[in-house]
Amino acid sequence: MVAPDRLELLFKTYHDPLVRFLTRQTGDRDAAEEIAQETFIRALNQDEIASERSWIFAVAMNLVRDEARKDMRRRRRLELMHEEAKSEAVVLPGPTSMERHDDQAMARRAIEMLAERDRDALLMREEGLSYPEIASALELSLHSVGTTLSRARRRLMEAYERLQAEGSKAPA
Amino acid sequence: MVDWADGEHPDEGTIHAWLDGALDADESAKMETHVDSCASCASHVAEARGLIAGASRVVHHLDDAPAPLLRPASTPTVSATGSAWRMLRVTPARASIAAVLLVALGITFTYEKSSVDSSREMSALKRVETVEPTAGTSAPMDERTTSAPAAAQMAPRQALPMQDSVLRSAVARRIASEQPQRSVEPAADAAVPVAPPPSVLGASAGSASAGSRVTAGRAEQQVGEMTRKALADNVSAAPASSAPAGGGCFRLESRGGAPSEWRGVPLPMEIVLSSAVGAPGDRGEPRFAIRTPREERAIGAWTRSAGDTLSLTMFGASATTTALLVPGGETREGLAYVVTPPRSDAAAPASSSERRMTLRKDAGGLQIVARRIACAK
Repeated sequence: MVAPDRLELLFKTYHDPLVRFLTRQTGDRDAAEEIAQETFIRALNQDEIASERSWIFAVAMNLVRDEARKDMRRRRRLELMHEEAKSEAVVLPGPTSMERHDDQAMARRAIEMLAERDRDALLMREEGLSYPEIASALELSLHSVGTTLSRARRRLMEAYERLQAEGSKAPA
Repeated sequence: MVDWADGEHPDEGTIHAWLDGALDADESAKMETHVDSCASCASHVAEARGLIAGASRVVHHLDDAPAPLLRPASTPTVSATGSAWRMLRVTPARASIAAVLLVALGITFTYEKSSVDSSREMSALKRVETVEPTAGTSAPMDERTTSAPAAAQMAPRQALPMQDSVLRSAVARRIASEQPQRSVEPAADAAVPVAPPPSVLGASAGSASAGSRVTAGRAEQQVGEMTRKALADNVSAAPASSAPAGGGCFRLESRGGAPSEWRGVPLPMEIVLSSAVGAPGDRGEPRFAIRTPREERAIGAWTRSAGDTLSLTMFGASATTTALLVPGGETREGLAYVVTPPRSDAAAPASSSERRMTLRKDAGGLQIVARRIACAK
């Protein structure tokens, strides 16, 4: 078990970067806070953490996936309920024109277009994780971190620019 | 890590690794030499620089105001942008869970380590002694706690008017509906009735099931027993004055000095850490009191860990807020966060999963700075 003193230090050192990372991942600050807290709780029960930063980010990332899976199940149930109630397909609302022109909304859509691993690697790098830390967290070889990051960056920019182009063509 | 042979060109991943500073000195030197003499690679490097900067810019756009705020809060929808996360946050079930729980942060630490290290961060459940709110300073400390997650979600990121804050909780609404507003003058007259303390259990009676209250009561007793021994270290180590060397007086501010509040008490607040055992019936934790020109009012308990981290805990009907203040130079800094166990509807001893708790930064992500001040006034 990690000593409480150690946990405090972990909390102090990594809480803010982790919440930012998770907010970028999920688009939801409150969910990010909750997942971050859960991550630290798990750290408390960990006997030993070799590479703290990669461990914390890897655990948080897995929690995001768990939540996303639960979210998918909930969403499917919700859709079924809607179908039963209205006997017509649920059309999820598309982004508003306001969102379409919004940098933040476009960035979110672009980041969500990335493959999961590419997105994880990119967001971890943006939080300052080193290549070895990213390799450890994502269970990649060290060499493939550069490849993953270059692919993530290229695809992100391609997606973002495409969205920008679509936004400029769309009626305001 | 370099993955190209002499005479060949580095791949894009290696170029990014180089620009990210992930190559060692030899690899970097080799890359520099190659790029200097290879126009094609130089253009790839330039492109990679653009991608790195551009991607970083896009990622930072994610930190702007969250997109879900663009929708009216009153129209819960499942959007294509993944904001169904929001649906996971506050549900009646979660609100009801929050409404019946009573635990301090210390339970996490003490439950597993109390026999090993008795001077760790400790918190004990205890009633918060309050008087009726007077303007600006004193609100029941367990207000907003009946549905802490809900309140945390509802609470705007800035300081709230006290009355809004009080009314936000079901407990406060109940109190407001059943008791007339009172004000308390300076205690010149001992006969002035002091409002009954909003009992932790009593306050939650309106919203918690009997079983939950039993569980909460047991948890309270259990935590009290577990923490008493650890807290005794603090008590015995400190002289029995009202402001001992182990305690003292502090001024708590939000970091950056922005107007804020901690569990309904406006910041900055001045507190007195005392080792004195409280009134008969009190469990005897060292307590901390809010100090105003007119009064000192106990609002929580404090402990100090071996690492000199100061832990201030305010107790509430459904959640407990703990601020861990880590020393650093002239001041102490830390985060206030709410401790809410996930469930306590079973009478059986908590299993490991039940012991799991949720730490939430207090509404608004309160970051507290504590400065020691003179106790004499």
